[in-house]
This record gives sequence, C-alpha cells and structure tokens, in this order.
Amino acid sequence: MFKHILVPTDGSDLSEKAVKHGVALAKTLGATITALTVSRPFHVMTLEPGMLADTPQAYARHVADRTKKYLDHVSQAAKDAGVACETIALEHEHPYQGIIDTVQDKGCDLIVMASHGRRGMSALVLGSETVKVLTHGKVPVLVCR
Amino acid sequence: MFRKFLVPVDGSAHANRAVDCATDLANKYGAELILLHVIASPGPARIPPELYEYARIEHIDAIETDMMNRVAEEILQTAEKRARGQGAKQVRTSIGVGHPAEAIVAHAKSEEADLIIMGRRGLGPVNGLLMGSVSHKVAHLSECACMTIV
Repeated sequence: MFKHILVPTDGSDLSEKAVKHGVALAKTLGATITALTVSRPFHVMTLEPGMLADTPQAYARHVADRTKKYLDHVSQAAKDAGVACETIALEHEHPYQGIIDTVQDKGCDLIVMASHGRRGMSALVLGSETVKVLTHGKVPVLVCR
Repeated sequence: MFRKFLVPVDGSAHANRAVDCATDLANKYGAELILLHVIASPGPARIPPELYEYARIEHIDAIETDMMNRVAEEILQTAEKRARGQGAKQVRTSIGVGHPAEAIVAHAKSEEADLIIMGRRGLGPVNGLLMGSVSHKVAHLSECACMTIV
C-alpha cells in the first residue's frame, strides 16, 4: 500500500487539515511523511503584496520564517503521532511543478493535499495548484476538504 | 477516520486499481465499501431517472434498458468479486442512472460516504486524455474527501 506520503502545505487552514489527515493516514498505514512547502522566487514586477513591499533580502527572510513555521508544524504533528517525517522547502515558479518534482525525487506514492490553498475563494471548485497536481501528477492524490 | 468508501466503477483498468486500493484501505480501517456503477443517460435528450424506472417496469424500450442494466450488474459483480477476493468484508453494490459525475457526488452525499476512491481515467475516449472528465468533475464537486488513483 502507500509507504511514503507527500504532504504539501502553504500554512492555510485547509492545508492544516490536510496535514492532520496525512499524518493520521501515515500512522494507520505505517508510512513515512515528507512535508513540503513551495515558495515562489522574488520578482520585481509583481502584484503580490509580499514581494512589492519587500526587498529581495527581506522577502527571502520572510519566506524562510514562514516556511520554517509551516514545516515545524507538520514535523511536530508527525512527532506527536509517532510518524517519521522529513521536511523540504523548495523555491519554484510553479508550486504544482515543485510538488510533482518532489514526488519523483523522493519516490512518494501518495499526495495528500487540501482542495484549496491560501488563494482559495470558493468551496465549489478546486484550487488551481490542486487541479494541476491532479492533472499532471503521476501518483494517486487524496484531496481533503 | 474513514467509515464508508464510495468506489465508482466502469470496468476499466483504472477502476480496478481503485477497487484494489479501496479494498486495502477498507481492510485497514474496517470501513464499508460501496461499489457504484452509473449508467450514463444518453446524449442531450436526457431521460430523467424516474422515466428510466417507468420504462423498466412497463417494458418500454426494454431492450436498451435491460442491456444497460445487465452490463452494470456484470461490472458490479466483477468488481465485488475482486474486492471480496482481496479480503473485503463489507461490500455493497449500487446502480445509478444519470450524469456520471453528478450521480457519483449525489450518491456519496446520500450514503454519507467519507471518501470517494476512483480511477483517474475511465473508459471515456478523447476527453480523458489529460484527466478523465468524470473524475475531474467529482474532485471538484464532491463534499467529502476524494482520492484519484493513477
């Protein structure tokens, strides 16, 4: 069955839920977890408030802080459940590609992710990264709600 | 965490893999498996499910309806045998009629299933090239968790 579960997180409430699901599933199946956050590289021309307000150095520092917070949260949850957990922070222009690349690099056999991330607007349709992972991914995906 | 799995099947290899995976998970969780086959109502002139039932009872256009039902039963029996062969304890089968994605989502809701496990591509032709349109729609519309098997 599933031996190695990838749990991408962006720190949103829904992805917290996916983390819980992923950890519980890993515990039941005796699988290990790889937690992943993918951040976007700094751009000068952008509409993202975080990048507009920051210098590249400040942006990098903020990203590092956030990433650490999200990943620490997952490893703590995994530790509490007694599940082996590895954490990875990636920088990639397209988060879904970062997720798919990590699946391949680490040999994960299941992705557990939220139906929406931080940009989620509606409860009706899936988030854009989730759709892309579903469409382009080569392993099973469990979408949590 | 999981009590009831809904597994839509259409006899395709992807659906079979979904059955295998669902059985394995169900055994681990002691969950119940509901195998569902949806008979797609034909084309743009959609026949409402009630009329389908009426046709079945009154033997109107019995040939097509009966054939579809026979196929559905055959697919479900095969899937059930497959699941039981791998040690599934609680298995139920169910036939739905209508638009596949909508019927699957509605079934999951009425059965209060907490996970839908389905193949990413079924028997659908070209529109399944990237991702089966049915699994795509179900992933979008379902109110419970949804697992797509590759």
